[in-house]
Amino acid sequence: MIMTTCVVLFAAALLGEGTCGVYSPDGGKIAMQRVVAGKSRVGVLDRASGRFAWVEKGTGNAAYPAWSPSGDAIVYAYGNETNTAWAAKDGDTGYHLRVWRHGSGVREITTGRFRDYMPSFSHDGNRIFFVSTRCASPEVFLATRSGVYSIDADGGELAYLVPSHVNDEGAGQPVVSPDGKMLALAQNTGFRSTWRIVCMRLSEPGSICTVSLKGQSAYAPRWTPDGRHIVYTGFSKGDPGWCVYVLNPRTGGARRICEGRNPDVHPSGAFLLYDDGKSLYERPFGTGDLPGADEVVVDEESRLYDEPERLVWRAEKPDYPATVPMTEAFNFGTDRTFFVRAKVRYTPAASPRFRHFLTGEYEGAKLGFELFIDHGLPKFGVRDGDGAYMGAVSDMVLEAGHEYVLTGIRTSSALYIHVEGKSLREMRFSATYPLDRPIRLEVGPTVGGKGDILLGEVGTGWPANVPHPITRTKFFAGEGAK
Amino acid sequence: MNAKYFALLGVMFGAAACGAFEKIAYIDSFDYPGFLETETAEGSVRILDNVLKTGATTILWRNQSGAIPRYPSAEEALPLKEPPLDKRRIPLSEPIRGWVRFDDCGTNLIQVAADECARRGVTFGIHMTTEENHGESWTLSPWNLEHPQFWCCAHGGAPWPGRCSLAYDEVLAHKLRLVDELLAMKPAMIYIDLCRAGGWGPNLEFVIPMENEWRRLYDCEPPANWRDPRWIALVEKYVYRYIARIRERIARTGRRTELVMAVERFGAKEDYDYIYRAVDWRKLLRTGVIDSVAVACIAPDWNDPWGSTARIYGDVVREVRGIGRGKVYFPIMSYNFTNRPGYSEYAKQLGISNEAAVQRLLELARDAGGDGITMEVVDFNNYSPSVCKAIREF
Repeated sequence: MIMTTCVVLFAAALLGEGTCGVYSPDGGKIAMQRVVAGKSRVGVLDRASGRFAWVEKGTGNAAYPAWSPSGDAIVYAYGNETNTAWAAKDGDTGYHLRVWRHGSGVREITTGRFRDYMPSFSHDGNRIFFVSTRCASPEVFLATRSGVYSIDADGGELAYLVPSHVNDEGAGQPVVSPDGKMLALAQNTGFRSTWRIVCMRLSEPGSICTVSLKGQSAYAPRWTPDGRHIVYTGFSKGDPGWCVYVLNPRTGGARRICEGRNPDVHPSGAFLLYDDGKSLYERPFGTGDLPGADEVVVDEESRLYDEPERLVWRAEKPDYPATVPMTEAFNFGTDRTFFVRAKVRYTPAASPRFRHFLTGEYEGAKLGFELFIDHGLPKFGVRDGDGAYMGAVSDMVLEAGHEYVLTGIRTSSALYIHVEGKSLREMRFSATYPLDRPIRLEVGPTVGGKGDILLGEVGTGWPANVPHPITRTKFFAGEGAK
Repeated sequence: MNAKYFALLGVMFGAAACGAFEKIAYIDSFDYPGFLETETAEGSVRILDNVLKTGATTILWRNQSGAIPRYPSAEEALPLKEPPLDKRRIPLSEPIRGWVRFDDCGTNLIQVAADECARRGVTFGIHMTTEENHGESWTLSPWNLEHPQFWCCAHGGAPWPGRCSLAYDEVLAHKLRLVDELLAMKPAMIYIDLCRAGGWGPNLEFVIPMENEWRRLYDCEPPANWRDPRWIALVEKYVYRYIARIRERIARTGRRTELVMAVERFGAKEDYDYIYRAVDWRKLLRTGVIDSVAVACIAPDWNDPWGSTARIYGDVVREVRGIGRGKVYFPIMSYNFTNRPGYSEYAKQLGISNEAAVQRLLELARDAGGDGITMEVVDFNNYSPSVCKAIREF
């Protein structure tokens, strides 16, 4: 990995109290949040005169301002919880999007007991992209998720752009590239993971590529005015705290600029705005801050998927329940990529709720890995260092009587569940339980239903039948170096 | 302060407090918002009313919810912690529960509960989780989110915001300030719950000071496998330091506060608490840092549930008595968790009623020489009226 720290040659100027600042399109103003009496409010600072004016005068919390491309409007999130949660349970209070327009005041464009937040305008100003908890079903226990939506700038129908498929999967700060083709956002696939920056082509929803540094926690992306780089808040082990990074998403080259967060680059490209959680700062910004064209990060993910599959166990139409002693070949440690594959005929019998297909027992972890179905949803799980389950969940409910090839994969940093020909779901993690002392493989150990398992396989490397997640190399192929 | 001092304190405390068979109930209270208004003083009293149906003699209130204290905390006071004002936390969206703000409702709800306990002659204490337990992204504390430089890391360097490492002095100081806030509410007991650790373990302690100390000690790179006994021993040193400092803080108050360590999976093949939590409860008890051990759960032999439970209980009591100090509490647990069987598992395995299982577990706790029981999470309706009656009348 190439990552260099730019020496700070210029002192940053303190602009005053405020966070989440964003430059207006003409660069003359800064919209920001400020805390007053414990509440977040949104206002605008005139850079030349230093004059400050509030945009939102309500008594609730206003946050995450973003300018329209023409500079005549600001969208932000607003919420005003005046009751206890119990008293407000049947109301539609929540965090909603408000649009302030020059000359016509403020208009609320979303409603409902949801949290709509972190909005931004499309490059043409016609749509607003934002994060929302609308995808979190109230029926789900501990429903914790957020996805990316868009809506006409004047309100209306919603489009669900970046779904959250499972609990604890979330999105943050979607921002459209200046050419209107690409969405950058923060994404998190679970508690045992951290935030990362991903890019998605708006013409190909679902085609998502991780662009931030491996092993880094990263959020709050913004494009540089030329669309070639992304500035964001990041933390890598050894950093003094949250830092401002600048990244070339096409090469993976990144530089740490300074301590700070919530960066934005001036439309001229000459200044960087950021905060420290309390106050706003501005510093000069230029080509010297950018990663060089030769700073190309080895696409580690590509290498990961290049390792061909190699079977360590295979059984056609296996008898089960059955126990197979596992040899040292099943020693996958914490880092080695392995997969568990089963061709199954899904026949919900007496207990359709839960059924194991293949499980691996290791010293200290009876269910070191497990490929199974829960409420018709394929899942693949391993154990965390605590010995507790962590797993990837498919977004596809199996239909009774059909045959499927299910593949669970664990790499050094992610779990996947794949339903052949259908979908691949991912869950990232920081650490996992070491599968280094193999004991036994259990085939179909729980519920019956003869004929369910038609083929069972365990192997190392990336399984040949699973198209791997899109890599940066492939995602940006054909674009040129920009 | 040295170990002898702690031990002396412990002996004094044990002598003063021995005798009664304690019925300790702890309250998550995050369950209650779905059933009644909880963000008011009246709500705290109604929760207490519900818990006292079990006949509990000690009530332990959970210190936090979603990693945010359930009282106005100066230590975790950030103006923008309310979801979704922090970009780094995915909000909880459950109706009511996803919208409660226990720390920001104008009342110290825990203090209300403490005062009400005093009025009713019930012992009040704090149920302190090792880390927020629900293991989701709404359970990251504001302080953690502000201080990534102290985050735990996996081998290889991937940071994890679920917990800050105790290897940093700043983290230790932060956690002790939180303890001070709890002690200000004058609890008679602080119960440290190791089960609820939020997914933390020695596997996530590959932080710079820990790694540097390893290099100094062993003149080599830290092990790739966190289960290396030397690695666990190194992590344990910092966990011990933290709990010993809690004892010091308690001593400073001049009040009696029983420090209870909840440990788990007695009867299992491995020393679970030591390997997965880097906690050596025997050392903590021996050196006078903790006063009592609460057996949070055991691993019974389901071929002989009662016999194996009696044997495990007897083993624990013998071990504690062998150390020469400390009280022992045994579990009455409504919920069944993976590897943590509750009383309903006994009922299921033996084909008996829950009340009969609870009755037998109470008898086993008493007959083994236990000093009482702990009721794991008394939620709104998870202990049935008949189970409550069995416990109340025991």
